[in-house]
Amino acid sequence: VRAFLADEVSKGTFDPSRPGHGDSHSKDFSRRIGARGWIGMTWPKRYGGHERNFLERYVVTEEFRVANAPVRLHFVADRQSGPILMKYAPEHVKMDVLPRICRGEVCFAIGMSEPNSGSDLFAAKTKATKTNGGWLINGTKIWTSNAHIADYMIGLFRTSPPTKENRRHGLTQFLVDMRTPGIKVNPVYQMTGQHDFNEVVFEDAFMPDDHVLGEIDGAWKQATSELAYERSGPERFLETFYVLVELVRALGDKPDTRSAEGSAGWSRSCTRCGACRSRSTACCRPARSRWSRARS
Amino acid sequence: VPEEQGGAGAELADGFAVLGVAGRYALAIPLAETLLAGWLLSRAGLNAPQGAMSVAPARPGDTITLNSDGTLSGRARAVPFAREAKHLAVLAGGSVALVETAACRLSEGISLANEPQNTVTLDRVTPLARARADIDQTSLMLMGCVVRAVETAGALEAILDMSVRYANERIAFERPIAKFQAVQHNLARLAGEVSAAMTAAHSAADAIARAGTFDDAIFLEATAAKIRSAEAAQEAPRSRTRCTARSASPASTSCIAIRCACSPGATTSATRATGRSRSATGSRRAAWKNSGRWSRRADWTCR
Repeated sequence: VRAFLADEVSKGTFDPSRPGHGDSHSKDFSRRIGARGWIGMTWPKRYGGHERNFLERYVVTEEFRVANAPVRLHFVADRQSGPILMKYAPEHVKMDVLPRICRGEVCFAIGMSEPNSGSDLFAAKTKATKTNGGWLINGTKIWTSNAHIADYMIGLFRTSPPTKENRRHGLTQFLVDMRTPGIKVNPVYQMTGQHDFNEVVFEDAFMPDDHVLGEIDGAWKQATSELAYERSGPERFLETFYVLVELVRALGDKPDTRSAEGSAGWSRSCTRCGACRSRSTACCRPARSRWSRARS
Repeated sequence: VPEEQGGAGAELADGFAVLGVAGRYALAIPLAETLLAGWLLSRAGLNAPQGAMSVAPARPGDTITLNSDGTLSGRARAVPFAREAKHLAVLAGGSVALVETAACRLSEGISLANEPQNTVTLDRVTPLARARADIDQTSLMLMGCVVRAVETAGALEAILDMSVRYANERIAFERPIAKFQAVQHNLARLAGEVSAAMTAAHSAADAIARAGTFDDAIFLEATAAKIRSAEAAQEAPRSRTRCTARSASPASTSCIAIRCACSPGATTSATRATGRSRSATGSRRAAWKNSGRWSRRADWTCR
């Protein structure tokens, strides 16, 4: 993996010293990664996957992140959208989409947050109404990363009102083809001028029945298990790792006591990172270690 | 320690497992110290005697020297349980020695957890046995770090269990207090800290049990485990108090977490041993400061 990345750096594909650049997208680069077998590593071979273990996937993910390589195009699909499809999509949809993800050809976005509801997913109002052969979507999603480059979105829409007993009832997940008429993507620029977030507006966008994922009205559990994929990988703490690297560089060889030992000091940050990494790798170890077994 | 040297012939991993359980039950006897001493002696091929032991030096800055006539001299501060130990395993230069505690001069002293913690002075003490060993003081400190981190994690686990149980038992305003979001928030914080401490400690224990040598990777594992578990030990009692304040819940487990985290014995300042991790000292100082505050609070909770 390191040799591949070094080769790409020497070819000028990306600059490893420029963090943030790794968030940009490069279609050709993602295809080359797919050709190496580094997308969908843990998935079944019949869907284009490689049946490797999660620790192997961890190693690849970490190396790419540390090198600041641009993986945005395929990463969300590899991390969470693919696994969701694998679990809930009809077989023919899986056979259509999953191999393309593995080849690094398609980009996914996640449609969860909405205006005026913050991150309270129960409050989702964007509606899917039953119609002949499918559903019509109306409403707005916001803070949607990648929507402007995405081929698909996995969207969480309201198919029934919540019940008095169960606030979580009434949400359904859909596989959204972003080329569907009636979908409009508006950029939300960041202070720095970067374009990552978007607002996605749905106006009578038609979703066929076979794009419903899992149980109608019962997507709450699916969405939370999707978040578990999202929050345990090394990218979570490596996204900001370069700040620590820069801090150490800026402080030089002889940092004063406060910058080294303080509660935000570099050495304490290093140990926190180390502990995060232990937790992250613990998530992908198939069997518990000998000592942990002895413990239990 | 191998059976032929008087040990149980168990593996390091088993020893760490025992210490995790000892931590859970706030065991107030020098078990960790005795195991660590036995391990140190076995590195030199020396037999472990019966009874409780401790280890010197306990701080990276302290050194014991081996004199040309085979006697030992030097001073080791904050040796945990020295007064209750019959023997000390002493690291002096490239040698490990077994010394009778009675042959040394011991200061009075107790730790935050009310356990003996003494300065041990050796003045031309003749050891009972001595042999060369391929271990340096940094390695001993790293081993101590992991021993303490594992105990701390065990104690924190117990604190979490007790807090969750209590929050589900105690009724206020006609509901178990666990139903209140403010209490849930504190329990979640506590659980996060406990999970961090446990993973860091387990990871380091596994790494040390697997590896034969103390290389850079072990250094990071061991110091990260020590610092992270000590940080958790500061935060955990705070969150716990917020969940169980006004209760007469036992403070002893918190005390052992604090003891493990703060006790300079054997370990805490281990990371000072090299210039690479100045943070340990900072974290230790902070831990001391906070634990002092907590120990007062603990007294109050006990009453």
